[in-house]
Amino acid sequence: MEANRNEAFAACSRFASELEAYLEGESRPFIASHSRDCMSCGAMLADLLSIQRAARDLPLEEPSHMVWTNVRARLEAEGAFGIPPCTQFGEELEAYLEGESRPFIISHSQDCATCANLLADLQSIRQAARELPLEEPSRVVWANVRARLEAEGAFGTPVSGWRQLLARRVFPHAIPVGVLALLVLLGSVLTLPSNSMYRWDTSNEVAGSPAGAQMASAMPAAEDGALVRVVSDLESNFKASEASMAPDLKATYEKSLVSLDGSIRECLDSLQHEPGNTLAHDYLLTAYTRKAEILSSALEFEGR
Amino acid sequence: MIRTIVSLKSVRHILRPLVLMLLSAAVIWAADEGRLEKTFDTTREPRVSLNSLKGIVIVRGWDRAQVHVVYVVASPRVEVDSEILPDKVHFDTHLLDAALPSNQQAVDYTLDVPAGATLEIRNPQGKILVQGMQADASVQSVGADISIRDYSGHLMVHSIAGDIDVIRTSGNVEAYSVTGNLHFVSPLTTRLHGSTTSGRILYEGDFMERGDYILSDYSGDVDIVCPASASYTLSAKTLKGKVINTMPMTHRRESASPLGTSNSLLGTHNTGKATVELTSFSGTIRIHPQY
Repeated sequence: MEANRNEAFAACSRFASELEAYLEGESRPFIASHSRDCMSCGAMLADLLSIQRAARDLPLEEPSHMVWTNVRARLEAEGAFGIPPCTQFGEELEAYLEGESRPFIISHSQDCATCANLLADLQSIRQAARELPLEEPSRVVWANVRARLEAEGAFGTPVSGWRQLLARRVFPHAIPVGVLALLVLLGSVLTLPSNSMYRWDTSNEVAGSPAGAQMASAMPAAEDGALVRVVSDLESNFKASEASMAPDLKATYEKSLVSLDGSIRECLDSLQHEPGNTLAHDYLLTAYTRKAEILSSALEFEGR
Repeated sequence: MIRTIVSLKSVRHILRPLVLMLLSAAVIWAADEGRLEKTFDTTREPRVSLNSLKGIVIVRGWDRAQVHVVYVVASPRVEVDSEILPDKVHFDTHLLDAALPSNQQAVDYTLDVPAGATLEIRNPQGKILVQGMQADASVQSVGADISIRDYSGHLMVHSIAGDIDVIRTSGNVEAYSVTGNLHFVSPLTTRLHGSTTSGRILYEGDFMERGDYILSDYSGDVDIVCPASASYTLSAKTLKGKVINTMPMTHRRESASPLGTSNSLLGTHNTGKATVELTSFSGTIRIHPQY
């Protein structure tokens, strides 16, 4: 008796579990056979089939605009229309790499292998970049930058402490941006082919002065000609501003410049007699570099 | 007006040093003869910078996380601005009157700073003395002497016309002058570059193992006085001067151009553990034992 009841319960349970599939059109022979054996399940099936038929006969009604609005609002609230995760990852990645807290980057990289690989690659590049040695640009580069800035009036006339302070606070990036632009310019100039650079040097103001012309003939490298031109620019600026320098400071600079000019002349003479003399060539370059530094220093202190 | 140009943060940054500056000015003239003495709390490795014009600057390292400053201004028309933050201390000297006589432009500074502080000192016409520091330093003058003692950080020293003394340093040293003399005493550094145009270079001390020493002069003499136990490989070259060596050398190679316009000496003393490169255009290079 008990066994029969359990058998009947199991059959009704199976009927319930297969009913939905049957009503959706799947072949479920058990539904037809059980509905014949079980009065209760047979009645339920008959009701559902009649509802299904009646529903099919109903006219098609377009839901009101309000229904669609509500549906959309629900879906939006559930995040169905959010930015695709990989797009969001791309948008937040830069900020994350710059140190901002972006938890989504971590969580998404755990779920998405492609984005995780991208993140790992960028992190390893960044790590490698951190481990690169810091290279100090040569003094010639700084002297060149200084000369160009000076020529463009970047150092101007001395201003009061208040104005200096305001300028430093309000426009803190003007000089670095200028220096960056000039470095790009300098890089372009120094990467010109040597032949064209040499022609450029000798056809300009370098050839205009006797020492410049002598230097150009003694030192064929393009960079050397560029250095002479820098020194020439700096010297012009120094001469234009030396009237406003403190007399004792000016005397110190002039004495040093005289000493360097003497060594430049002597080196040039040596190179005239012995063009392959590397020691004289090295000293000549050093003297020009030192002269550029001193003129830069003079122009800097003059402005204080 | 300012508020329309800069953010509130910028204004705060501007006002903070200004308030300090005004307070400083008030304190200066309340004190005797323009003297100010003050102590600030800092980190153990702050960045300390000082721009002066004239006068003596003394900087000493100590083991406290504080900066103690004493400065004396020669005239009320010379102003000292200061910016004090835990990791950055800056003093800037400027004239309120451009026509101020030269002898009244001086400010004498004495600073005690954490030994780990990074230094940037510029004093165009005044002496600079720095001692007992451990971090990097840039020290510049135009016409005055610079003396650095007991320093273990990376040192860059420039004085266009002043003499430079570098005594008992153990970090990398770069020292440049044009007409000034360079004097190195008992360096423990493994990388030393010194250059002057017309001054003299005097090096007194040993050379460290795997050390790299480059000394270059134009018209001045270069003198090396080192112990007999020193171990180095020497390259000495002069175009118009002489090379005089009284140290015993092995693998010695000496040369002079046929015209007698160039002299050089290449060789090894003891086992050649350090590299020493000496050049002069027209000066004399001497290498002597230390007694």
